[in-house]
Amino acid sequence: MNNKELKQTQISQTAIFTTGSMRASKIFPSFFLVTCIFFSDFFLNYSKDIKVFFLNASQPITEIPSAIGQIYSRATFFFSSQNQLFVEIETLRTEIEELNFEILKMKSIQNENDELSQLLNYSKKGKFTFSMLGEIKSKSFFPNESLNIETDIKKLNDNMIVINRKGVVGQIKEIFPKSVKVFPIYAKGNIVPAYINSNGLNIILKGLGEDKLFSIENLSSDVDLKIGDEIFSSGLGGKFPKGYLIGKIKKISNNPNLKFQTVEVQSTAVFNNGSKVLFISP
Amino acid sequence: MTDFIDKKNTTFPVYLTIGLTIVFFTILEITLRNIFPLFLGIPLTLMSLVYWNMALPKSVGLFWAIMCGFALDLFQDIILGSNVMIFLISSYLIQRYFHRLRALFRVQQSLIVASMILIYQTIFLVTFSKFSSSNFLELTFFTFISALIWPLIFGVLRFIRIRFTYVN
Repeated sequence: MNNKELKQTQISQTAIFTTGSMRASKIFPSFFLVTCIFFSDFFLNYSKDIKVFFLNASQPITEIPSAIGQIYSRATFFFSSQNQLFVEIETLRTEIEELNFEILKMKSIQNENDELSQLLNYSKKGKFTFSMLGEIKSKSFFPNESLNIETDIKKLNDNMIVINRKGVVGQIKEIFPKSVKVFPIYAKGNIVPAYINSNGLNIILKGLGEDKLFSIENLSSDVDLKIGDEIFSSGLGGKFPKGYLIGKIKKISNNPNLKFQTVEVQSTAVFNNGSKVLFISP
Repeated sequence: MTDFIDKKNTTFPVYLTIGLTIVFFTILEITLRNIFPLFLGIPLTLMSLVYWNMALPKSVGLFWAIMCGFALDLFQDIILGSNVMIFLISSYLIQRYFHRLRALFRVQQSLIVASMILIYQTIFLVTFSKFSSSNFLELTFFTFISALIWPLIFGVLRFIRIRFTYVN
């Protein structure tokens, strides 16, 4: 017993000068290494990259609590009366979506009916020798603006005019086995006999092809015109029906030294409107 | 020489127990700093390191001090190695004088731990030029709180050490 106490006392006396595993010889290299890391990070600032890496690497682990929470809340929700309400709401929502789709379909049909009704009115009022419906299948835009229209081509010919609910829009240029190609009324070089509404003067409109414009051919400098004057189809030549609005005067260049004045007419035709057209022969 | 003090374990690896507790305190410290976004906090990692260096100096190497120091540096967005250097110096000094520290009363130990924490936090404030009146209040408050909770940490870690790392 005495020996044991003596031994413990001796150890205690000497133990003051002992260390654990961390002796000075061991700590100096570590301290030096950490100092190197400290200064390298101070100058290079790479700790942020390391942090981002660890955050990315530990993301699945850090998301476990929230995932468990979500699963738990979903499981409890599934057995609750709220879930029934939720299912009911979802069913009603689906029904509403279906009804909305039906409404859209009905609106589309109504629009088509309006269009057909207007075209039929044109057909009745216009007293054309021939009229037939066609359905637009595809549209090409400027510079080669055209419509591809499906119809019964047997009764059609190259001279027929095309009108939609907004008025005269073009004329047949090519007839294919199952469809026809229609160019706009303002296509380059297209000639339209017309008259100026303000003074009743008969004129010839020539399509310029660009910006829905016509020019008036051989119009004397003496004719008094105003910008905005309306121009209607005259029906002369028997190709275009009479009394349809063709356009409005946009620009007048009248040089007193010249015999003719240059006039630009903006077409009112809405070439791409609707899905139905009427082929007519006046 | 201290073999008879650091009793051999057969229940749970000592090194792993030390590591797990230090990692736990590091996570706790980070969590607390997240909840209370102040510049300073209660340095639980340092306190657990102090305990283990004092209780089982032979089993605590450089590894845990370095790893937890780096983890705190990364979390606090400060220069890598700042915490590690302080942890290394603290570990070294405690291991140097662990016999004396063990013999002290708990209140005396609290005072020493509080002094260490005061120095530790002051170094951070001075290094990162954050010394203001509000931070001075934080420094005082957390030093005081650390001194108060040292007996609690000591008790918990002592219980873990006895419960998991000793053969009865």
